[in-house]
Amino acid sequence: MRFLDFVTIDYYLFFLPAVFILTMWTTLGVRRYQISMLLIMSYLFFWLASGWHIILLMISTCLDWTAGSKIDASEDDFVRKRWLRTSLITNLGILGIFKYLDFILDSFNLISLKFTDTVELDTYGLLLPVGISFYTFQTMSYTIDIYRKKMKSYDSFLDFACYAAFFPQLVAGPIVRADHFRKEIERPLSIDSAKFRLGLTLIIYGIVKKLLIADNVAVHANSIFLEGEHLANIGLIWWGALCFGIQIYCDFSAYTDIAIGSAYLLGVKLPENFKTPYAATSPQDFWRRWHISLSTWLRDYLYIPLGGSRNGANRMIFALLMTMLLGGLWHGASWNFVLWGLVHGLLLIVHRFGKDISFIDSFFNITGRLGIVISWFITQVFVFFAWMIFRVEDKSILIPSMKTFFGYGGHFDFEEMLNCLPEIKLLTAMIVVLFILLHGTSGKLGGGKMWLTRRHPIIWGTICGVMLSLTFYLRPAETADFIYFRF
Amino acid sequence: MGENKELALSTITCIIVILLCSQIIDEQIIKPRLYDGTINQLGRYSFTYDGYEYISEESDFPVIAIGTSRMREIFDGISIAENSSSGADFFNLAYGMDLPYIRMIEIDYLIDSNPALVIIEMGPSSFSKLDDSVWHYNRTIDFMSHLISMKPFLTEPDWLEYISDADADKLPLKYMEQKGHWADYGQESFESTIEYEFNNTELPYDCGRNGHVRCVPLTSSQDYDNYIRYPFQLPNVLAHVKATGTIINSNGNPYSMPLEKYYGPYLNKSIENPYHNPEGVRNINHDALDFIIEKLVSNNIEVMLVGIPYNPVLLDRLEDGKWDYYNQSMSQYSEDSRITVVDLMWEDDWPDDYFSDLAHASRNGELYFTSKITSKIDEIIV
Repeated sequence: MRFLDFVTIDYYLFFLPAVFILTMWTTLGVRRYQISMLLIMSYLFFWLASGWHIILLMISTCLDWTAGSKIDASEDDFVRKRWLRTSLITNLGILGIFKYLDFILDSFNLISLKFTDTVELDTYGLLLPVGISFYTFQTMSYTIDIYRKKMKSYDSFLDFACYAAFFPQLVAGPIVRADHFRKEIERPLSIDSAKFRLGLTLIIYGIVKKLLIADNVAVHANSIFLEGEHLANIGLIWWGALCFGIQIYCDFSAYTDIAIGSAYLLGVKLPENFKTPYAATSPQDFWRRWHISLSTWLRDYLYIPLGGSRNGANRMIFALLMTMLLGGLWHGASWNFVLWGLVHGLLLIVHRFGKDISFIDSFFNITGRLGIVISWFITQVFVFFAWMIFRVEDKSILIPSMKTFFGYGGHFDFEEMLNCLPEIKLLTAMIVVLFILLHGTSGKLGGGKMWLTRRHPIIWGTICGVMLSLTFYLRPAETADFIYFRF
Repeated sequence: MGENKELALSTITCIIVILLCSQIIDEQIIKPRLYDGTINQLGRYSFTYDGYEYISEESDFPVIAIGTSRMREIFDGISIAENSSSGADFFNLAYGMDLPYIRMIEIDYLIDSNPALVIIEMGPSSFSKLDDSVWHYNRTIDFMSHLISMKPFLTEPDWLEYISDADADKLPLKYMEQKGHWADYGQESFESTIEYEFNNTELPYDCGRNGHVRCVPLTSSQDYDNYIRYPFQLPNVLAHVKATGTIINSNGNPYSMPLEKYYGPYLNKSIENPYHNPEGVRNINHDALDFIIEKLVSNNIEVMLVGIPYNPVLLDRLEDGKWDYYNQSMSQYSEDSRITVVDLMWEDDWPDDYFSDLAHASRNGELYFTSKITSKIDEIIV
């Protein structure tokens, strides 16, 4: 049951205006009052979204605050390590129990079933606390950074608690670094009308992306990959992969836009999480544009500690594969996420070594722009192939879909494809075409949101009005949860 | 321009554009698809509000008939006007599956059209049971939700007190729910509009002068004025059965239906339908009927209750006492001096060829009804 999130009307009619008024107007511009109010409202938001799981957030907050302070205060390496270990073990322990315990037990039972024909262990059916993967990574980075002496601990518990619980990004990111957030709140929060309009633009953009684009194409992706019929039809599989790729981008970036927009209204600037990822011309380029806050987190706290790229080829391959496998697993306790991470790890490795091969290098030098287009096409084919893996948990659907994607044993039948798709076809096709055009041009406009924000008020109002009206009338009757809520 | 002024201008422009877009989408995209029967089954389920508005603008002396498809099929407003000496305009705003419980949602708009007389169809369905075990009930709730969403309200209308608690949970009674319910038609309307416009696909039902019963011409159409007085009629199924021993199904294919079967098992099954039977006790449907009558009378609008007959073979087959509640209610209404009751239900001068099936009048029936009802109307309004 959904209580409060960014697609409930209550968020826009009551919660966000209430937070804005209480934080910006009733606190008389006193920073401490503002942060206190933000914290209270953030806890209220989390409680309305996830109930008693708020206790886990509070445990994480108290523990990491204490660990951060102790690490910062001590010069004794043993003490510092002990507190870091305590923080990591507790955070990862909570994450492991709530997110992965049932998955581990299920996997064990699967193996057991294969060899002994019996299921050994009962699963616990634990509900995944909303946003646990995000706030755990966020608070972990705090203690690690202090341990690495990259930053000082927060002076105020209130500030730190607000950092850990800040409601716009609490549930699905972006994963904000503690240092960044501290700079944002070190002065009293203030808002001017330019920031306000930018915030509004981002929120409207997010609502449109989620309800108009993501939810509509989701109906098609679901009908293909949930029903699992006619999986030998290449057209259908490619369409399904395309739809899901668009869905997940619009769904997740919509959340980020609304989060950043909501934060803007409260005078806080959060980091960008996406930069037109489907314009990427290589796997490495893709990861610089997709879920930036996670990919930089994985780079800083996993890839580099595992050896990075400066300790030889074998070490780099190991570090890349491990990072991407764990990155995949971070998304959810399911083997398809691991496989998705593996595919991306392999793509990064192939790209890393492939680009140094002389004839490939010469080919792209000679072909110039055409080479870039080819590179873009190949990258995106594999990115969307990987999305298909990400989408389909059922291996009886996934394996034939993977084969068909590359034409193995597949056929193309347009009539059959049309018959399989849901009733709303033309509209969805138009939405897909519109998305591709806008995604392709938004990079050139310096980001569609920024472009729109700078327009004359009448143009801004007209475009936003049209977008909101179309969203209201063209959204599917059922609104799906944000995909990344599950992670 | 100052930043605050810019922000205000942006917001105001956005709101104006939203209102304009809503108006355009409602009128140009959704309404035509509701009218032509592409979505929501019957165009008439969506046409009454526009109908009341049209009547208030076009007629100084309107008489409006409401009721179910039986009223829709029997009330020829054009013929009645030709036979009447009143000079009134006669409009037929009945629709299939109507119930007082549904119709009360429209009552304020009906009153706003300023009718001299409202003719209300009476029959067993006026007192039928509303229960979720009844097959048509979901349709009733859907229909009510649809009507509510066509005219969203911010302040509570007085008919809300007659809505049962169970229904109140299901109906979109909050403004945003009403807007949302209406907007749910957007997708299908856009999809079919793109299909009709760009693929040159024909409309599913004929909306021309002799159109299909599922289609309603748009108010801007030249056929509209005739239509609102005398709507498109059902085909004469009974005559077809008698002539060919078949019925044409919804896909246009004939299937065997000899007259013995039609007046045998087919009729027996139909007669058991709760919609064609009064519940036998006072219920919310009956309360809603009284509410409608009271509202009309208190607004100085004449009210005529007309009991429209069924096919005589069906009436002969009724178990004794099955429609007693209807009869008792009609006689009670007869005692109310503020209203006129004309009960044709049990008159024995209605042969079965006055009907196009078990319940609806054929052209002969319409003409006979016209001859009977016109003088009664004239007695009230002349």
